[in-house]
Amino acid sequence: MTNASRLLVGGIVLALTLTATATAQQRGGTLRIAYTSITQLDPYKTAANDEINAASLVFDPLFIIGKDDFQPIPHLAESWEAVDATTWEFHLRQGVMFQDGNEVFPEGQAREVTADDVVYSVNRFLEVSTAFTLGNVTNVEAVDRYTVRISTADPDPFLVTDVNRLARVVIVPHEAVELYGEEGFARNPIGSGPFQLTSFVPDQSLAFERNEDYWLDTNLDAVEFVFIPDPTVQTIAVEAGEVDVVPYLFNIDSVAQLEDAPGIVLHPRGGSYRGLGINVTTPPFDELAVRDALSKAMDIDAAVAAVVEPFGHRAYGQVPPWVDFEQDPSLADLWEYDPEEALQILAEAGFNPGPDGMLQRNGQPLRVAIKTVAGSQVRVLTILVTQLRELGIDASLQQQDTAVWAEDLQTGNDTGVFFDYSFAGTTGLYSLFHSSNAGMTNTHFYANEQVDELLDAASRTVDFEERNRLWLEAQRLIMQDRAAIPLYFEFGYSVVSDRVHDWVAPWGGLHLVSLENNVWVE
Amino acid sequence: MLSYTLRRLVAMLPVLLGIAFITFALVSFAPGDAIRLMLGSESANVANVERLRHELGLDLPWYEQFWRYLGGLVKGDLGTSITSRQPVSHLIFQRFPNTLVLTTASLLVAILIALPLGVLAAAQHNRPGDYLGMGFAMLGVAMPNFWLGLILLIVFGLELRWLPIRGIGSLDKGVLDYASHLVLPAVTLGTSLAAILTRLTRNTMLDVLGEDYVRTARAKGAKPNRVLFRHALRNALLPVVTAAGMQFGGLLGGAVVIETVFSWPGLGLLSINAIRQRDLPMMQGSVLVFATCFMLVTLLTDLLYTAINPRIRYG
Repeated sequence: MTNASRLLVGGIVLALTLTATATAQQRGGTLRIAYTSITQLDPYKTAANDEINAASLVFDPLFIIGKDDFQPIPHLAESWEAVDATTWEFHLRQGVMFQDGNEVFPEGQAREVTADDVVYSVNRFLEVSTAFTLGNVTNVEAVDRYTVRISTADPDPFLVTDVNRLARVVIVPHEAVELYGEEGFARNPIGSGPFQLTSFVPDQSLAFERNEDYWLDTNLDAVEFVFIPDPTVQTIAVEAGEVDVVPYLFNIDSVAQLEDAPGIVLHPRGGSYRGLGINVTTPPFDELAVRDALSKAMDIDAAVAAVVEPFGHRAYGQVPPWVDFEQDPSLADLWEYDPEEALQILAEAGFNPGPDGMLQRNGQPLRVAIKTVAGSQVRVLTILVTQLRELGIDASLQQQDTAVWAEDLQTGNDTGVFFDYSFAGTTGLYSLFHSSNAGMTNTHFYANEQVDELLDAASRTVDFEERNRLWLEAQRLIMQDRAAIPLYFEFGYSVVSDRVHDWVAPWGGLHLVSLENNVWVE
Repeated sequence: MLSYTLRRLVAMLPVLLGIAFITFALVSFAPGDAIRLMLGSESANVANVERLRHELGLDLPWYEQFWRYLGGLVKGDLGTSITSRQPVSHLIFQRFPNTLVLTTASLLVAILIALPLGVLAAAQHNRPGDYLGMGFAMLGVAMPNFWLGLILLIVFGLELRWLPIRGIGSLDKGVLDYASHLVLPAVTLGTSLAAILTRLTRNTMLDVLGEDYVRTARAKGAKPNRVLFRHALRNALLPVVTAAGMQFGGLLGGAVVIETVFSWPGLGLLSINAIRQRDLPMMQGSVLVFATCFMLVTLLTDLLYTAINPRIRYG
């Protein structure tokens, strides 16, 4: 070997070594996460993503929703099984300790997390949580120190699979709530999680340090939450290196710009449903023909392609691709862009062009005033409204404040048509279309006995294949009834600096350390 | 003077009561409420949300809610935030000092820019100094402050990296750290007020400079600078101080926007979140604190008159 080739081989070996060193996990460092608002840290009393993310560092749930296939994977519970149709049994990991060095558990006086803590936590959650429901839980009991049984009135497969149910119940020590009281606990959270709180001033400073006694070996020394209420400034801050992570990108319009930004990686995970909802009791949308014509009058593909793609895709139903149900490809056949047929259907329903060229019936114009909140969907809706107006339909957008929009929809929505965005989780169809929820989460005021029966049956069916069949059948009926006109699924993204490794975008909580990841920074 | 101040303070009480009532009525009758917002989520626990509505007394008629609120107010209890379920007073008093620092700094920035520039413009009437002052006055008023904020943030924070782009500094890290965080938001918030005050200073100075006593002073051989600052400015200041005091309310309003852009953890940001979430007690508390603050500044402005113009006496 010549000197030159020796040098070359040596160089390659050195380069490989350096590369390996650069990508090997490193222990230490602080992760800085941007947030919009955090005023309290009681995990049961919030629906706000930021507060849930921060609380997730302090507390452990029984299981988390896995990063690859949205299936539950063990965390505090090592395993679980259905004892019978209405009872789940959870087996806890042994030797997990609550955090010490605080007023509740002084240094060296922490105690183990046991089945009694799970019983306490589930009961407290049932009592105080406004954002999430556990379904019809009838009993929670500790079978022994490490075994808990949860019974439900009916078989409830969603208890474990739905991210918004048991996965939300993180384990809380009763001593902390008793010592601090409900209000004080929200400012002094103590759990068994990988990080413990070091400082908290609402919407000002929030910092955590590693819990050295955690049952997993945590890479990060500390986590700092950085207060940046403006979403635009959040993305500027990650570009400027002032923060490492923006957990959720609020505005999909900035994805294209961030995609090419140096030093930034976008982590997609799940997303949300975006569509038109219809109050099926508001004339003239109480007529199926009118709703059907509306769905045929808009070129949704064109609008979605112009604004959303490739950061989302067309939706034909409300069950999103990231939940525990199969997609129904045949739903696509239900939605057809055919403006001529739309006009024909409307003519049969009595709507004909008036003197001004706009469609009307008995002197009343066909008004489609879509109530919406601000967001990138406004551009999609503007395209759709323009298409409708070209057909002679008096379409318009009414942009509202979120609180006004929510109240309008729940109290009946006088215009009948609204922009609908929902997380559309595994129990989404039940919340959004079951008649028992009319006027609350069912703002379509949709009531169809057959759909109710299917949704009720699906909620009680443990067998996945059968549950899937019932759910998809219910969805098909809802779509055939045109209670909603699905537009698109928008992907969710975390914006992360390329110094950060093993990041998993939050899903029902932020997990920096789990059996499937351990975040570290270069 | 003391009895005047006391009288003014006592007179504030009925005004505050009126403000509390108007805010309460406006919010109660405006569409949208916090509970319905919670129910809007598909995962909402309907039974617990309804119970919360009852616990917080939100199912009572509005006059009964108002009566309860007043009862609490007398005892210094501003209520509990609906969304965070934390005491309103706790959240407000954590944030209020930050807003006070920001608005005071902005007022200072405005005065430091406006007085010299206004005097320069008046002294150089229809000459370059005047054009400079009036150019600034026009630009400063025309630029929306959120836009100016973002531009300053991108230039000085992102491109030049001279100043931090967000948050409040820590006094533990030294005055310099605290001040460096304050510069961009204070300049952004103070610019439009500076523009207004520059124009006002110039105009009142021009009026005063045309007065007989100024001509007399000049005729007596007083130096130009002495005429300008000693004879003219002092008399021209009265309307400027009034305007600055009155505009303080505008600064508090502007803080709502600027605090969002610069992540400044103040009361403005707290109020805007409360409005978005229809957190009634939080909104009430913020409005009351803003109103009290505004009234106190107005009183302070009136008292300042006596210092500026000894001919004014309050009895």
